[in-house]
Amino acid sequence: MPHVTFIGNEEKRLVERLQKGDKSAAREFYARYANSLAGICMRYISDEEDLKDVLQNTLAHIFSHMAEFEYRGMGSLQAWAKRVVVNESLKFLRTKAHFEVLQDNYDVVDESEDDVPSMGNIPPDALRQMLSRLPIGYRTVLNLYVFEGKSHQEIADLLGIKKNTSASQLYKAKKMLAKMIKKYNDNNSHDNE
Amino acid sequence: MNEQWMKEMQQKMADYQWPAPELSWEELDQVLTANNPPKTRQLWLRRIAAAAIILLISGVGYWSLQHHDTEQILPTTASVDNQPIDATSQGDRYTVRSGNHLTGCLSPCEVAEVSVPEPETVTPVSAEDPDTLHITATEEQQQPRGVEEKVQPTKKNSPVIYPSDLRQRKHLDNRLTAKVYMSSTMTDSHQTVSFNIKQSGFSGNIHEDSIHAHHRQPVRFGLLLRYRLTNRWSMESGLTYTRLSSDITTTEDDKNNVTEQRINYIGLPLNLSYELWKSLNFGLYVTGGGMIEKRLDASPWQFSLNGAVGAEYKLTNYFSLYAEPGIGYYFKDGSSIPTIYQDRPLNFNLSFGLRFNLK
Repeated sequence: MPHVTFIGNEEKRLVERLQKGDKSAAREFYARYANSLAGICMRYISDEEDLKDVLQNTLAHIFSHMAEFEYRGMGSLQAWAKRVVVNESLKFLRTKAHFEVLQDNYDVVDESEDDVPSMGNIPPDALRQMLSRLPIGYRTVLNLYVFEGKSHQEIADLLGIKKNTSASQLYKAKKMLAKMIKKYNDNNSHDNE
Repeated sequence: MNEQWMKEMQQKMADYQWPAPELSWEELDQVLTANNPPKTRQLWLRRIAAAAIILLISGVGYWSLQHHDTEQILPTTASVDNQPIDATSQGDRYTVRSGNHLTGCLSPCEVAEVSVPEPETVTPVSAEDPDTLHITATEEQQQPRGVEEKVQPTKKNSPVIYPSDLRQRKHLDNRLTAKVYMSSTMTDSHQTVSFNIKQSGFSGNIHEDSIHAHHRQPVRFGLLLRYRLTNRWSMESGLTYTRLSSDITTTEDDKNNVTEQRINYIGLPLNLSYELWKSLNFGLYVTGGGMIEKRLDASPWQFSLNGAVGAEYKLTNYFSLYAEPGIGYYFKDGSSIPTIYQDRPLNFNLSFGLRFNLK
């Protein structure tokens, strides 16, 4: 699917139309951004059933705060929408689980290997599936750390956990992911043989 | 900390998309219209309303300035009417005092001084100026006796007022500062400074000479940039160009000479503004600061302080329309030539225009 890009002032005009309550602009907004917002959401949630709820809340939040949004150049609307979908995903996950509780439920630190194997052969969708198999706490921390560029302190504040918990969950997430990737690579190389 | 596996993952998932489900648009449309009321018309109404407010402020400001003028001028001109010239009785009285100063008696209690550094030729205009008012000096009101000694009776022609100095005599309360707006559409201001120089005592001829100054509204253009320091404080600086122009009509033996004079200033203002109140598009603020101006045709530097209350209407994120009625104080520039600013150091001004906002 093509990456969402805007030519000239289209994004700015879209903002202006949304700020005037233009319903057709709302549809246009969704048509342009929904797939990429859904892609982000699917990194966080494990069940596709929940996707609609999160996106619904995401758009409701965006539309209700449109008046306060200030267009700051090309891509700023999309960047804001991405932040909102991350927040709404977290909000949703919070209703499902307490991140703190999950920290020691899984023991994955039994593998000796340190590095994550190359994921060059893994399609994004398979990678997303691996993420969805991670326990909710690991997955959330990994998402925030790797994709949203948050520090452990920021993650701790966001999720209401300790900074150390965030670090250890990332470590465990990495271990678990490495295992999955290795398995995937092994399976695929067997297929090729 | 950004390890290889993380980079690899970021790249893999950067453009990751997922087919989005259809949403419940009924609810979303409600959210959208409730929080973003369709305001195309409202917006225009508000823009028109804001423009009207700004025009009103400008109008009131301008009117009050003009009104102020009227109060200044009327007594002078009124007294003129009450002081008919008694030509014969005045013989060879001179209203000229000292080499470089003319004294015209504007009214029994008011004496105006105009400095006359050097004569300068002016373009003759044959048309008679019906508007020219004459102010007569009568002997009874003429306090300085000594003046006569200093005047050379042989000087048949009336002293010609050096235009660039006559300017200084003008009342300039209504200094209008415009930054983008052309103030030429505004009413001009007039002032007549008349002299009755009676000479050539033997013949009894009377030469009534008057100087009528028609002052255009001083115009200031500015290119200012404003920088927001905090939420409420902002700084503004830039360049201004100020032009003072006047038509000077000197009437001399029923002949009118008209000259146009212009004084140009380039100025560097520095203002600090504090926002008092702000809605989405409309704002009120106070601003104050200083300005240094350089007269282009002469050496003096002019310092001034100013303060104003401003109203602004945001047209877009970058442009706003504003009106600032204010007050300015002009310091002495240290030169021997008096200027408007020195004659009336405190004056009201009104500036309005378009502002470009830097974030």
